[in-house]
Amino acid sequence: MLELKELEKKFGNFTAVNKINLKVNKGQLFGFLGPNGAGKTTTIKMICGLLSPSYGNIFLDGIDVWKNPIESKMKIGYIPDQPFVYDKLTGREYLYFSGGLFKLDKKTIKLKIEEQIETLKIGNWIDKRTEEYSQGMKQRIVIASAFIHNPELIIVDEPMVGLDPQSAFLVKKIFKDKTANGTTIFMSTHSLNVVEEICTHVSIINKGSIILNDSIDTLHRLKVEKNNNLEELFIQLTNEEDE
Amino acid sequence: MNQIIHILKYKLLSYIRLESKFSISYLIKNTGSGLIYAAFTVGAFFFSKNLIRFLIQDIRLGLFLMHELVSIVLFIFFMSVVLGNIIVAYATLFKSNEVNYLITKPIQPTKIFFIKFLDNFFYSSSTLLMILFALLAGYAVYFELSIVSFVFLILNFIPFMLTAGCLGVIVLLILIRLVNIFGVTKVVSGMVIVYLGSIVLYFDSYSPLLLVQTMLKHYPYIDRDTYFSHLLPGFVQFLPNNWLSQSAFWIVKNDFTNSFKFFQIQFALSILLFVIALYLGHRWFFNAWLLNLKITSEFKLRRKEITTFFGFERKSFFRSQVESILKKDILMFVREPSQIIHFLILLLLTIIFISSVSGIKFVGIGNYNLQTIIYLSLTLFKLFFISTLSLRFIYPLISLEGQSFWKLKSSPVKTNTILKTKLVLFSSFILLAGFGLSVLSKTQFGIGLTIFSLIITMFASVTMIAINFGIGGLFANYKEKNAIRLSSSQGATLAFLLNIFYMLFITMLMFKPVSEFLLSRMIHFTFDFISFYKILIPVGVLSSLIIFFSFRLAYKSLQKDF
Repeated sequence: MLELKELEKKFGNFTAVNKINLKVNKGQLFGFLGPNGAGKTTTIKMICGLLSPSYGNIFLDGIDVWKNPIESKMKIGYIPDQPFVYDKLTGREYLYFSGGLFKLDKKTIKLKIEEQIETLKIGNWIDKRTEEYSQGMKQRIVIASAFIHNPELIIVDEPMVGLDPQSAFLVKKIFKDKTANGTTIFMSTHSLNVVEEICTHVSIINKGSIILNDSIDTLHRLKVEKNNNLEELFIQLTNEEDE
Repeated sequence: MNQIIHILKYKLLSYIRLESKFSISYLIKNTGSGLIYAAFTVGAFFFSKNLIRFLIQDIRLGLFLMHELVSIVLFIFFMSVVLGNIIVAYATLFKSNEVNYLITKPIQPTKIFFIKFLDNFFYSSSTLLMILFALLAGYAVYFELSIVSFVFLILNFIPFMLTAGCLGVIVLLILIRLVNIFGVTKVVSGMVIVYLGSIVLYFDSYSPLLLVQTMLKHYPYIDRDTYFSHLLPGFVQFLPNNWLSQSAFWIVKNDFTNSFKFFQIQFALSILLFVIALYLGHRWFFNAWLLNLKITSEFKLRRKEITTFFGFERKSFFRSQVESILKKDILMFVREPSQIIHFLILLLLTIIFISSVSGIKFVGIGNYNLQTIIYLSLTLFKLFFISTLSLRFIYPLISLEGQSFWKLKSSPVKTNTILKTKLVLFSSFILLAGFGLSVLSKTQFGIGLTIFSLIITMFASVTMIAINFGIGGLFANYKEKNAIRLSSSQGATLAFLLNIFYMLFITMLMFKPVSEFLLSRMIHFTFDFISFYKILIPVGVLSSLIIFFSFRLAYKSLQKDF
């Protein structure tokens, strides 16, 4: 489904992402772990077309994302770490706006919005302007807007930021349901528990390089070796790279 | 005081670091800007010097009348600065994240007010001061003023600007208190009426035409530098713009005693208003800040979103992507009070301008040279107006996408579609305004000149729109939400300077055919319109080049990393 080949991003002399290779298969819930500043958001922004790679390629179903951006973006739903939305639009208008960008007709958008209201429990405030929303409310509108066109691949950057426990639980459930229905999710996070709880595959990036890329079972096995302490394992893995 | 200095020190430090991030594109951008600024400064110097020479020696306007015309220009400038300051001060004092941050710290609100007041006053003033300096230098060189006189002339400008800045802040503080009592709609409508009323009243009692006619009664003495202040309406003598022009008049006459009298009044008023602004800031700022929070939250609670003509649920004949971007832009615009108020004021000014211009009759004036100058001045004024509209509404278009731009950039929409759709709305308005001005101001010259004027307007409008769009993209600042601040930023000034070069280029090309045409009308000689259409070739070539490169610039800016 998604393949990163020798992907690199440099900002001047600084290498944020260092020729990484990754493969994400259809239906996987792929956890992309890493400490702050490891290169997670940079990688995600390159996949979504917001940052151009300095080297390497990104393929989505065999299509080069940067050579055929329109075709590949049609298949992606992106949820950024900061839910910036147009503050003078209401939640409903924002969803109509998003649907229109993905060439959906009004009837479909209307149905999809009703569906999202039900799933994400956003009915109480969807007709208020987003400038009045809390961070969590904005996050849910952004999630709804990413789902509206039924994307084959959902790219999520730090999905739990700003969400209360109920919303976080809801989002995790939605992600699991989506992957069960064949949608692929590529999720960056530094929340180890979230990865452990819902992901099927995991990759750890540190200082721009991939240091672990395996199934979640491998991570479990490594965790057992570390007295069931995932946090300790993560610190050890990222520290080893530093040494 | 220590706290103020501490905050100012870090503000300055962050500004310097922000402005000195080195890269090749930064170097190119800044060298280019520097060259254009330098060229413009030199241009402004020669423009000022030659314009004065032309008015004094060719038109024989006389010192007094020339300074009165300067006074009128200064009045327009003063009123624009006051209005701009009310809007910008609202954003700076009440809606900035910096104030929200500082207010949570143990700092006296008066100090916050003082810091933001300075912020407001110095923002974008550097370019303005540079232009003023060049214009004043041209003035000083023409009149062969000494260095002391030149410095004194510049010193005269500072209290004038301070008065306008303080007045804007004082009015804003009063407005917020009034809004709490009478509501937003009544107060804003009242302010618009008072503002436009004062402009209309000024020009009604003191029209340039009336002034010239009054002065002509004293012909031939008008060019003998006589002081005709008794001919001015009484109220004019109480206005800062008049004090400034009168002070300049006496500097030229080498009479410092009289000049200093006007400077003293100007200075005293600016200090008085500064003290009043600080006093009101000390007494009212924190309360006004809280009131503003209360008013905005009450307003938000009462507000019901009306599904308007532009509602997303309504069907449209546009493609879905175009419709989405267009409706989003319209809703974002009409729901931002500062945008809509400014737009309505400019719309009203456009209508007033169009109707005033259509009333000007100057075909009967005997001197064809004077006719040419009036015609070209009118053309330049029209182009200047188009340029102002482009700067205000086109330049900020890309920046105003803000940090929410990720949605559009990560969607399957072609960059060209984004560019075209964003442009269509305001470009149509600007083109319509330009065409309206062209048709109404040129009908007295017959169909031939009207058609020519329409073609020139079309080229000029599209070119100036393109310049503002391209430079707006190059200097895009997605963190600034205020369109007026964007329109007075460094990039905006650069766009404006390029517009002025372009306007002067067109006006210079028009000089020969226009004067020949007006001469032919005077001596009833047949005029061949081909000489008009010949100048369309260089205009067309230059415009096409500018349009092409500006759109490339805008296109590239949308493809930059986000």
